[in-house]
Amino acid sequence: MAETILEVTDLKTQFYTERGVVRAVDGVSFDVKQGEIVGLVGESGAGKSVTTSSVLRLIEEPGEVVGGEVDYMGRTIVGFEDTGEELVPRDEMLSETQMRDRIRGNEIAIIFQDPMESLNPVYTVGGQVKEFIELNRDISGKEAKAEAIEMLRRVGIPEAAERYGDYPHEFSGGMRQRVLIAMALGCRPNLIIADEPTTALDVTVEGQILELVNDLQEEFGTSFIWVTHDMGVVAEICDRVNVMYLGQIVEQGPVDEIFHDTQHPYTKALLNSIPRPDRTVGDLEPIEGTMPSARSPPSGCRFHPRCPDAREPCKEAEPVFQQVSETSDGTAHRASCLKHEDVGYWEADALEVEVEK
Amino acid sequence: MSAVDQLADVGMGETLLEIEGLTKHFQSDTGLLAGIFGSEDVEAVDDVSFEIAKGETVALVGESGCGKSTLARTVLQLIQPTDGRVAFKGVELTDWSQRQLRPLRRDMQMIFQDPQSSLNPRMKVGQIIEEPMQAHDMYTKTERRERAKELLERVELEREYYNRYPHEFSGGQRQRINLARAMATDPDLIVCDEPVSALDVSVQAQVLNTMRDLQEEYGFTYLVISHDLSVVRYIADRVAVMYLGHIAELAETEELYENPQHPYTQALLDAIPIPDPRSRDARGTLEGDVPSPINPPSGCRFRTRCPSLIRPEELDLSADEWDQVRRFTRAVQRRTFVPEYPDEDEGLPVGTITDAVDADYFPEGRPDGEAGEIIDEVCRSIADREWDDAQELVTERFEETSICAAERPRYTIPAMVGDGVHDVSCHLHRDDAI
Repeated sequence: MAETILEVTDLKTQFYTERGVVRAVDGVSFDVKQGEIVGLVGESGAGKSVTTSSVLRLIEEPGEVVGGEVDYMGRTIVGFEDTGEELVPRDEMLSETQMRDRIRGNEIAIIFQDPMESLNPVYTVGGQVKEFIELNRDISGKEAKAEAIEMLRRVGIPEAAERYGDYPHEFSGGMRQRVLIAMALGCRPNLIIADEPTTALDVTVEGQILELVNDLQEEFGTSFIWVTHDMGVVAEICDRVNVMYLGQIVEQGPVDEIFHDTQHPYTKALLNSIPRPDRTVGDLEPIEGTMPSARSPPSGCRFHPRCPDAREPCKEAEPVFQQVSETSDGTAHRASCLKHEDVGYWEADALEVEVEK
Repeated sequence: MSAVDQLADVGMGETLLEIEGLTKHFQSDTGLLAGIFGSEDVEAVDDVSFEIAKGETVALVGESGCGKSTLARTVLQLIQPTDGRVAFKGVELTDWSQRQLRPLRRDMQMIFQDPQSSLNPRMKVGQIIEEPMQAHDMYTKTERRERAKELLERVELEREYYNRYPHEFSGGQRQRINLARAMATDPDLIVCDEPVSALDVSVQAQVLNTMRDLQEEYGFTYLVISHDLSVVRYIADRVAVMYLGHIAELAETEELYENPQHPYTQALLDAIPIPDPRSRDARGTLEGDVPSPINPPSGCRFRTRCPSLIRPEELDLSADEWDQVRRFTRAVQRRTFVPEYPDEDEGLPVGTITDAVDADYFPEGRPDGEAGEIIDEVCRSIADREWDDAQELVTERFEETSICAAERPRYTIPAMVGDGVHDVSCHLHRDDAI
């Protein structure tokens, strides 16, 4: 089995606001293996982006990573020790300088949703790609420029050499997203975090980008964490999937299992609520209500107020995120739902779904 | 007689809205210099015709910049059309001034995409819903209040929300408030511009279901604008696919999705990721970007990206040869075929280029006759590093000689699914049109 390159264990990130503490990421565990595309899905407010920012230690005031471990190929990106009174960062945790020089960009790159905000409008596109390559690899000058043009061509920019000197506004949205991918790939990172990279794009352009990512991933063996709310994109490209709800991962497993042997009611509800492009659906089954605030999450299982399967114990008992099955190749399928625990779920009465309209 | 007096009664299933030859060109530059030098027009919507029957949902679907929003706004006369006519309940909207049209607007309402910015944050929900009724002098104050509360109930909110402010609500709830406001004047037509695009998937389903239920109950007619083909399949009765200001294809929903006939629609449907890992397949991705609506391609506007461009008769090529020529054309246009020139300014011997071209694109030999001569000429230009000439040559001789460039296609064919008709703007159907 492929080597695990990133391991996130019980990660916790909080934001301190005037109206209270927001536990945006509350005990998240997942891993990424070499050459794998791992999906992180959920609705807005589920904590997907905060999770990936925490992995790269990009959380800013008033937010803070308050617990958990992030291990990247033996290096500690996040790690704490308990002094008895409080949690303090361990010595081996990488410093800010080490993160900047050795991790971000050259080991783990990130691509954001809005390419216009990620590119500097007053520098040429080619120049920005070249600079990125120079900063992260041991090449410079002419060689870096040649590499930049090559990367632009590889991601499908027509007339790459001629367009090297163009400015970002002269590119279409899809082309700009390609430039960001060229930038990320140009640094030969081991892992790319793609945060909703195709959400703002038209569907045919999205198709082009997904195709490109598949090709490049095969060629370079790069791993991806793909953040998205779109179950279609997940089905299309991910190998394994993490489904997030209100700061926690509620289900995790190989993509086929997630769609065809769904173990968490939230995942199931999410799949039943989306209109299908490939078939006519009589009636959609929406998930009732809206996601509650992470400031005061519901007791017990966080999904219980909206869960069609909720029963009495769900109000009190917090489900454990645990393995529920295993595929033939030994990949774990995990879920946090009382159905898989011995707490009297099956004997209990169903809860009325109470939602504020 | 005023416009409102001419409104005819339209029964369910009868034509409510008739659009014919509707065109909207924007001036791309309206500054002082444009006045002197003239400016080119952006052809946002060009000669579009269709009808909507009372009680039906028609969707305009297309990618950004295809003109779907402009079309909807032009239909409502929120934008003055450059040409063409719109008839609503028998009234020619284009014949009347904005002021004269105002009383008609109670019958035509609109919902916008962004539920954040389309509700006035300083007004209470009740006032927001009452505003259109007040503007059209409908009901007494007490009646309006009662009706607003009733409408809140109808869109599955609580009567008590009457006194709350928009910021207290989630995106989905705000879109329901928008619906309640649009319904307030009991309109016939509600134009919905990306009604659920800003909402989370689970909430989208709630709002879509509410829209369906309300239509069933009140017989509303919806004109839905959307880029989301899944949403459109769920909600629409008929779908018009737009590309660069033209309608590429228009058919009943089931027919369009199960039997798409326009290469653009096929590419679009092919591109949507299906939420099922077992239906991953090698999809045909559409190459290139949408061309500029300033000077759009002649004839069929999709022809510059079309994988099924019809082979020009004068070239006398076999289907295989034509495929090779197309590949070569694209490589030259996109300059993906780049020979290793020896130095900054020097060219290469023609032989080197032709050898490379033959190996890459015509392994069984270059076509004879005219096409062969053109390819020779293109190779000479490439050898001399005259890329612009090469590009112009392939475009002019291999693309613009096609029937696709010569005339705008408009055909109607019988539908396979159901017994309706199917409009498809593609010359591939020039022989089976009815």
